[in-house]
Amino acid sequence: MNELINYLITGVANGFIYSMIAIGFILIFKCSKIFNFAQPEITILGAYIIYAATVQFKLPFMLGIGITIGLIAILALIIERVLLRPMIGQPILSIILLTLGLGSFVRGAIILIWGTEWLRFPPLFPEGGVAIGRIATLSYPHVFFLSMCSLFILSLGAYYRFSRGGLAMRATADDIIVAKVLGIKVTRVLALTWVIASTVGGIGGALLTSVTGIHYTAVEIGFKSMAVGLVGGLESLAGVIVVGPLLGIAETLIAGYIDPLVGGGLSEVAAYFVLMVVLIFRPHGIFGWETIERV
Amino acid sequence: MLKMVNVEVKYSEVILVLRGISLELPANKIVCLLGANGAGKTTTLKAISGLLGSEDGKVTDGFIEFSGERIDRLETEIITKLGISQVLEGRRVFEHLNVDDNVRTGALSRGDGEIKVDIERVYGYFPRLGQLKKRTAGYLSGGEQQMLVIARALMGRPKVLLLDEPSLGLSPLLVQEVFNVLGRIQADTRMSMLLVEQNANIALKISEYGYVLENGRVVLDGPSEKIIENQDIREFYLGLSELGSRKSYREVKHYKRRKRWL
Repeated sequence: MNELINYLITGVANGFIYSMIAIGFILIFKCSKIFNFAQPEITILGAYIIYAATVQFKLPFMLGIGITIGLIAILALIIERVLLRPMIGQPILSIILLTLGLGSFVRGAIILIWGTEWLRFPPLFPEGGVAIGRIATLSYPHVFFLSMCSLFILSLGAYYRFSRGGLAMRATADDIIVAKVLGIKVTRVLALTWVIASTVGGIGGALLTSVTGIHYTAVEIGFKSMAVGLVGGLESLAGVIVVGPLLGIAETLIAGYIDPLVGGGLSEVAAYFVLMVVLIFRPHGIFGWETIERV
Repeated sequence: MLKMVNVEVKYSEVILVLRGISLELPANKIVCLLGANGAGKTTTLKAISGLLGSEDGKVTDGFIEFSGERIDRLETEIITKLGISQVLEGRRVFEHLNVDDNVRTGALSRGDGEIKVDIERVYGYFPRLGQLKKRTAGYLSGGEQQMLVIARALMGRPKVLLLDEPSLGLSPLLVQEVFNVLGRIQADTRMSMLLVEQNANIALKISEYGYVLENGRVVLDGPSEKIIENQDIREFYLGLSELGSRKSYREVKHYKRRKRWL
């Protein structure tokens, strides 16, 4: 029983991080119809930057997070300005391929700088955790994950839903030509989506790897988040917030109960299996936009 | 106020769509632009609002002036900020946003404190929209969507409103309603409107001056009441014969009458 609850907690905590990274995909996809294949690499770049800040330069973790946000935001601005803006008006497929290339480039740069070794953080959090009633304890990393993710997701959601900037984003996502005609600075909106998408990705990567350690193959986190985005529906922010924890739980449960029986590895593909099944029945994802057609 | 001089527009560097169009929209006036499909009406509006770029079109000759300033090389966003707002053809509401959010997007280009007042004013013109504030715009009826896109454009407080076929696909009663409101808005705000229409009848009634486009050229222009009188317009755009009675197609011998300007 205790074990099950622990699996559930871990699943939810990891899952929210997937949701956060997936929000990055979705924002970019909604506003520019570009599926950003560089997001996984940007995600682990966040992890490496925070490693550099906290381990190599021995800065405190929270300051490291601040630095990660700053650097990733600057990188996103450069990417948007130098690579994507000149591509406006070109076929979407070329732009998507461009993001694939960008991803490989970032991965190469990471290997060049940090090598292919497993890098481990010193323990960031004290042992133990917060007791919930008598049955479960919420370990400190999980407390931290959950609070950070809720902070980011809630503030992003509020910005998207209620602010003028969010309204401009939603309008651009709906019809970019009309947005232009209404005087919305579409290029600024797109730059902002890249900054937000990359920073939530980078922070997500930094959080997850702070416990597991970093290796360049951790781009896997990003691809799992892509699965979360697709299952939730590429247009729905609420969708990924629901689906992320579900996939996280599925993963930890399979890792806990089924992997020992079959010799491991099944948890790694669980997300993609769910993705396949969902897309067969709901091609738009669970909460995706269906084209509105009046009857 | 708004002036096009000898404007030539090419798509993809080869397709010549406008062959030297000159027209003028004075302040505080409604001017209409008539013409059949493919005459270049929409392209004219897009040239003004700077939307040709996204379709690989270009103003290759002539110029467009707004309040004495050349605007044919500016970005759409900047042209809108200068005070020219276009209502695109085909009721392009933000489908997934609700009515209220749609209206608010119109004010995103300005940041003053009078937005709330304007929202109320716009709902005053279109009370139906005021009742549907929380409704997702994609599910509104055609007439409601047309009202919504006009309301949204008004929120930017434009000095010039470009309207691309507001009557498209609406019932005659709704067309009348939309045009009544347009007339009221014009009287209240004293903004200029450039109206592109297929429905020549109603367009000529509301406007003071008209241009007729054919094959990318202005073939006829004049005060609207003069245009209504024009034999060719009566025949080819209004479908009326000499006596003002409906035309009997049995008696039509098309080869007998030719448009004079061709």
